Amino acid sequence: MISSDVIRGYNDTFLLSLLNQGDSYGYELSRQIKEKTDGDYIIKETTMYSAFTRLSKKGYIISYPGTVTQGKKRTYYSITLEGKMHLKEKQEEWHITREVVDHLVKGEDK
Amino acid sequence: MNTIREYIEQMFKGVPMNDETKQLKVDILANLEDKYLALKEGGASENEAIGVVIAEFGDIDELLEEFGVSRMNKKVATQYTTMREADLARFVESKARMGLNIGFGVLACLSGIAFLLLLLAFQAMIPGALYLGLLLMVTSTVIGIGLFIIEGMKAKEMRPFYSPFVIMPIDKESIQDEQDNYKQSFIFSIVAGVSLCIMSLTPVLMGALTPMIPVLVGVAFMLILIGVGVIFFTYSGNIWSAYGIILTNGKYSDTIEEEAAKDERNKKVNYILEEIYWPIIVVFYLVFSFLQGAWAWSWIIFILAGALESTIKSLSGNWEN
Repeated sequence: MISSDVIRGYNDTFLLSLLNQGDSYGYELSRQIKEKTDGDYIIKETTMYSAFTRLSKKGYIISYPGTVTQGKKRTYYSITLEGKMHLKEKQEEWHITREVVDHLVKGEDK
Repeated sequence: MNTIREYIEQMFKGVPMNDETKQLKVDILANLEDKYLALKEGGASENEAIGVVIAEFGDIDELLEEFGVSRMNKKVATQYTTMREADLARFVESKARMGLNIGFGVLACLSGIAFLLLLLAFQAMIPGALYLGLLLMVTSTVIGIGLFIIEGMKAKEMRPFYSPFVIMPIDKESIQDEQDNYKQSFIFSIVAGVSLCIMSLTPVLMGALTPMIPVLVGVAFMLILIGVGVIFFTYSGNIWSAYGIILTNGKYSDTIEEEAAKDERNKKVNYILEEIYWPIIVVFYLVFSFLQGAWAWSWIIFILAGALESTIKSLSGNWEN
């Protein structure tokens, strides 16, 4: 499992990216993260809700009470237009970051 | 399943509850339960499932920091009550009702006298007017005093708000907003109350200076107008002061101990000022004025004493820093 220190700065982007594919709620999102990474990264419950709070404050997502499923009323999250714009910036930033890290971490000459 | 619930209860112990944190707790619990059920379905044992769920919970303080709240230490949590949104709303509501009832109580007492005066004014036409008037007066007074007593007893329930209590930052902000929004109504009510009191002189003057109505009727109407004016004062004044009390005594959990201690010290200074300083000033004023016959200008002492009072207050505040 990946250490959460390395990935800390990207939690918000993960969630935005998932929400960009459609509204969802807490457990579903953490399940998707786990599945998509084959269990290499598991987002901690408190990390996820810190991110929701931050994103809501910035206006990137909004929350609304969803319908009752399996006897529980869930809070759903939805990405806003600003959130989509922010996600785009972050995606571009990631391409550069990945290249930088690739170059420096790999340790092999090109 | 119960273990998870207990774990969450434990984690949220000491977290001040408001609508936001309450919802957070519900959401997190629902997620953990989903996770637990999924793990069980995947073939994990009870213990394994609980172990994974707890391991993946994380650090509650990280989350609370984001919410701008910190878990209160046990001492604060046990020593001070936490007032939530609903408690605050109820307090403002009871204060408003109290103001209204006290206002009506005053009106009842004043109208009692007004009834008596009205009946006395028409004594010649109504047989037994005096007794009927007295009866009406006693009845109204009883109603008025009854209202006072009821409100006096209810005031006990509000006592926790008169000493420092813990408030959530978000709740304090919304109370501040409510007070700001109420300001206009408050000013309107005070103006209305004052106008009614001033207007109340009209019927008296009409009675005294013109033959339109008997003086007693004029006085009776004056009392009723004053009574209605008082309702404006007590109702809006109580709502206004309810907000003020919340804003003064509602403290954030991380600074409540300091601030409560500071209030306690200020209380001492205020006590000295009110119980010792001002009486001395008043006695001095009276003695000096009598001996010197200086009534014309000796009132200046109150202005000087007022200025000195603010100096003392600010000095005592500075010493603390």
